[in-house]
Amino acid sequence: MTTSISTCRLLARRLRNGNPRFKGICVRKHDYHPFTSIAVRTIATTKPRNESFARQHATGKIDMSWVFPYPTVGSEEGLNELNDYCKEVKQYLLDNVNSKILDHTGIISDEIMQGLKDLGLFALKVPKTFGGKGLSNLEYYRLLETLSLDSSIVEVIHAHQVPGLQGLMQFGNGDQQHKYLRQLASGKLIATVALEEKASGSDIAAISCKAHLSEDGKHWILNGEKEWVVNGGRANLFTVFAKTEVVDLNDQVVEKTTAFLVEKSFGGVSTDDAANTCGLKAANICTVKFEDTPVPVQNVLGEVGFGFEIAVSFINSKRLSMGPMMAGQLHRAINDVTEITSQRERFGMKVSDCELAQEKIFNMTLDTYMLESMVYMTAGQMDKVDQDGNPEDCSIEAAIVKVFSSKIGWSSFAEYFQLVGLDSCDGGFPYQRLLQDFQVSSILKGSDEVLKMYIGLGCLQHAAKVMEDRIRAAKAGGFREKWTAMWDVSRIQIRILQNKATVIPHPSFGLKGESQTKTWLDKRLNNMGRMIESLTDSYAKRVFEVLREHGKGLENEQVIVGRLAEVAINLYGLTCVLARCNKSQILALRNADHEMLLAFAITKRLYKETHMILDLIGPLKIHGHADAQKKAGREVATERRYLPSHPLEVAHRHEEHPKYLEQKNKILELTN
Amino acid sequence: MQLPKACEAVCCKFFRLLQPLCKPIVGNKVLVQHNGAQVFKRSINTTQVTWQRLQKESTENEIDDESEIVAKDLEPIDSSLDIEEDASLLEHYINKAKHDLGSFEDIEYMDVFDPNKKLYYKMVDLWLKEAGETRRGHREFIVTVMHAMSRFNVESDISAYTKLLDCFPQGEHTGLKRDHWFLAAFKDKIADHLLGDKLIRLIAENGAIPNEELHNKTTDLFGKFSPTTFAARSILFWYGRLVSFNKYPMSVSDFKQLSPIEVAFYGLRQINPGLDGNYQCFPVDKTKCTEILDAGKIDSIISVQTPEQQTLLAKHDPMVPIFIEGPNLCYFREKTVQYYVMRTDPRNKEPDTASKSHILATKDWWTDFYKTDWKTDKKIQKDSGKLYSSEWLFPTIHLDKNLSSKSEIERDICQIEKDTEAVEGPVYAIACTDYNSPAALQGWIKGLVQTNKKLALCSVVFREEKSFMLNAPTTDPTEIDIHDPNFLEDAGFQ
Repeated sequence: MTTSISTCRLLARRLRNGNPRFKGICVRKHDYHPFTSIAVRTIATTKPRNESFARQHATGKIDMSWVFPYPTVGSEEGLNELNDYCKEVKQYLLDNVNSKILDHTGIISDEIMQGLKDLGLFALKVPKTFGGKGLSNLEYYRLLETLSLDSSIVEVIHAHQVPGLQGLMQFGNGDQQHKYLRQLASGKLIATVALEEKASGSDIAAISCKAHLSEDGKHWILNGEKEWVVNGGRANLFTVFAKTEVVDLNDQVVEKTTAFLVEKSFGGVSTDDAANTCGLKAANICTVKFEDTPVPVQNVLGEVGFGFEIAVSFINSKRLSMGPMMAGQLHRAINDVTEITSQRERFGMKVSDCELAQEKIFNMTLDTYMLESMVYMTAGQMDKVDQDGNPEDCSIEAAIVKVFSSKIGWSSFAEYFQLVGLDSCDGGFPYQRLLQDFQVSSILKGSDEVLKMYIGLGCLQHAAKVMEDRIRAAKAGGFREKWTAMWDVSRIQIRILQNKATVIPHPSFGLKGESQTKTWLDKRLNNMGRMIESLTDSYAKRVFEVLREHGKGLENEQVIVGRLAEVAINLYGLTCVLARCNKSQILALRNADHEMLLAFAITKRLYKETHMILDLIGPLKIHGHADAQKKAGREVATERRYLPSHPLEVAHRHEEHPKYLEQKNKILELTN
Repeated sequence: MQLPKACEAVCCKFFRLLQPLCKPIVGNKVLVQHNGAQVFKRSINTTQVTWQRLQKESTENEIDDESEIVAKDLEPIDSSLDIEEDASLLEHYINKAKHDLGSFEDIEYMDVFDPNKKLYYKMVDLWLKEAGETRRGHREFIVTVMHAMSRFNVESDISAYTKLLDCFPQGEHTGLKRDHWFLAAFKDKIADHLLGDKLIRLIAENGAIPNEELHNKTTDLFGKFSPTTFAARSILFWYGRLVSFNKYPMSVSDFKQLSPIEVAFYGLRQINPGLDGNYQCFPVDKTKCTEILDAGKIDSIISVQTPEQQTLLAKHDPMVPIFIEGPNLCYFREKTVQYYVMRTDPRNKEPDTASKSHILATKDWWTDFYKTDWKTDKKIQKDSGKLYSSEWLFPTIHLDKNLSSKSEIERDICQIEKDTEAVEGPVYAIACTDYNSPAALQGWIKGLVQTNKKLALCSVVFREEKSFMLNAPTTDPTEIDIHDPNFLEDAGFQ
């Protein structure tokens, strides 16, 4: 055979390029490239994991299973039960809890604690088989909203629930569940998480608390100091994260985190007095020290060396809890402020009749509406379980809720205080308390910038996986190769070029193309749906551009990733609002038309904002100030001071300059 | 360090360019080498008076040719006053001005508090009054005053220089004006233009801040197209820009008052920048160190170390030696600082693969086949290829490094020479001292051990590497007569 392999390849390439001279010859795919077909087959058989909404959104897909239907409590009886329970809890808090006294003493008294236990608030997420209430995520976060009447109490109860369900039900073994869950449900044991340290803020892997096995191999000896432990003084059961030495492959000894269930009675646990924080004063936030605390081997949560995942899941639920708390507080703030402004008269008219005052109230309402719809959408999705029984991964959506709630917290409280006027400056209670509690809890739940990076990179990870072929094609060698490669990819990916019979329609609101889901959307919301679709398109385009430009180096481009995260937050919020509004339109709920107005305003406003953000990271550098921002920021950071000279500083006296005098004279002549 | 002959010649040329830098080495205190007085004659542009005085001293001390002798401190003399007449001219006006100082006209200089400065302005005023409209002898006067600026402490005052510009003949018909480019071609009155140019160079050298008034006066005097105006315009343009680059501006008069230790501090700040730098002063054990320093030299060790260098030192492998290299020179305006560097050799990039031993031959096969660890039977995560996940909070983007429009296509290049290897290792600390012996520098290591425990485990090697500038001649290179066959030896080259 004189024809070598290279000539065969040449033939194949010419065929691929669509040369008309070779049109008659038919070559099957696996003849020249046998391995791809096999690989494709194996991929097709293993079902890909269902990605979360925000991750899919970055590739230009709107996951309709998230949008329709908007999640609700399963049955009407269940809903009634929940509402009754919420009423009961609210009444108890209004009757017995005086937040002013709580703040003053800095302690939740034993009577109140007993009352909370009697109401069953310590057993919310514990399953019914262990004597708990067994609430789903949706119901649980609804209750947190009610409890937000006093933010210290919410924090204490939430800190108790997280290890109660998230830790023990998800990662604990049967023995541990039997040992602890009943006691946790009755309130005999009060649990909390000890994660943060002085050296590590949002960086969980940097903890310095350490544990080593004792000589007999029955105990782990725990040493270290934990800060910012909520309810640390009263808690009996700590979930402590510490570094342990483990043997990895190739006999390498490495340090990995492990979670331990530590009872206070094990010995060597000491707590300081509560820290004098500016907010959450009754939450008893303090530092806990562990000195040679012996922890039985059975009390390791999960497996040794796999504590990082547990910590991450804890943090996720922590993030989402910020949402309902803020929603409850803003509800009350709006009710409060409307009453105050309607009673006050200025310049011969009620303050509440002024349009500028109404604008402020309107802004608060918009933010609250959007936040609520995001919170319950995410909570409802967390209850969903896929075929293998794993809960859906909502970590990015939880982070989105946290970032958004802390963003609107500052703006809404500012408007609130403006409307209340000087009364808000008088004394700490209740206005300043709201702000201080918000400040502490928002920082306690993770830095916004870290979360933005988490959101942005999470979305980009999935997008890179989907768009890899397109990026590779764009990078292909010569012009002709590039062109053909892009054509190949587009034939697969772009809908117009596909054969309609074989392809499942692209999920959307059904306004642009073919869709099975178009009957879901109310007709009056079509405009908003179209706007969201176009935004999604341009978002996906920008994601592709950015990925093509930076590739893997995008991990270090923090400005771009942060901006993309902002876009993801806006889009997720918009979609949630649309889904909720759609539900209330179809079911004709109370004040549905008012909701419609809100949804319309939100969509219009965010549509512009999002486009502006997308412009900033676009290929046209004219729009953005990214380079200047980078350079100036670096200069200030390295110099560690404010660099510009004082406005009154004058190096040269320009008045003596002859040209300046000439101009001055000219101007004087002209004016005279 | 020995230099070849050709190289020395190049060095000499180099010194000619660096004339202002070389001055401080000479200064008032002079090292006399080998030929003693002969070199000294060349070293300073002295007057006949000082020359005679020197000859007297040298005969008194009876210099041996082989030994190095340090001359005594000379009284400050204006070295540039070549003629005694000039000195007497200046003395004449100074005395007159002193006599006139308390008069009513002083009200013009109310805001000048320094008596020396006041004297200066008064003196120039007196001269202006005596010289009249024609300003006869203005060039001579300006030259003498320019050289005596430091005596009146007005070096960094711009108003003193603008005052000197008043001494040029004023008015329309002086013949100095070059208002049109065509006029610039004529060389009449060139001496005045060059003098003005020199004056503006002096402003730049002394670091006075140029202002608009300077520019206005030069344009009025010399016209738009004269070299003086060009020079004034250029320093006006550049001064603000150059100052903004300078992070630590300092006036000439402030600089003069610095003690040697302060000079060392500023020098170290320049060599080893960083806001977190830890500056320490360690004493030298005089029982061990036999070296004797002159007065006004740094007899302790001033050390600087940033936290980054400290962490680098903490990671240092004790098997690898640490070197102390020096002395090196750093020029800080006119003063020199002698410093030592503590550093190590660069690390090898690739670890030794030969030392890895495979215990089990079937281990790899096991992990390939079962996808579990053979010992613990746990599943290996696909992403990391390790048993335990890497504890990294942020999601990573799984793309090849080449897949971005910025990255270039890598091509194999056959390497001919190993020129890409790192030559210098990390620097751990830098110190300033005027001692040259290792015995003195032991004090540095003793002091550093308190904050760097790792240093106690390491072996420290003193590596004496004099910079070629230290071997340089101590003479003023402008005075060297190149046609003299023995000039290199005279200049102090070995």
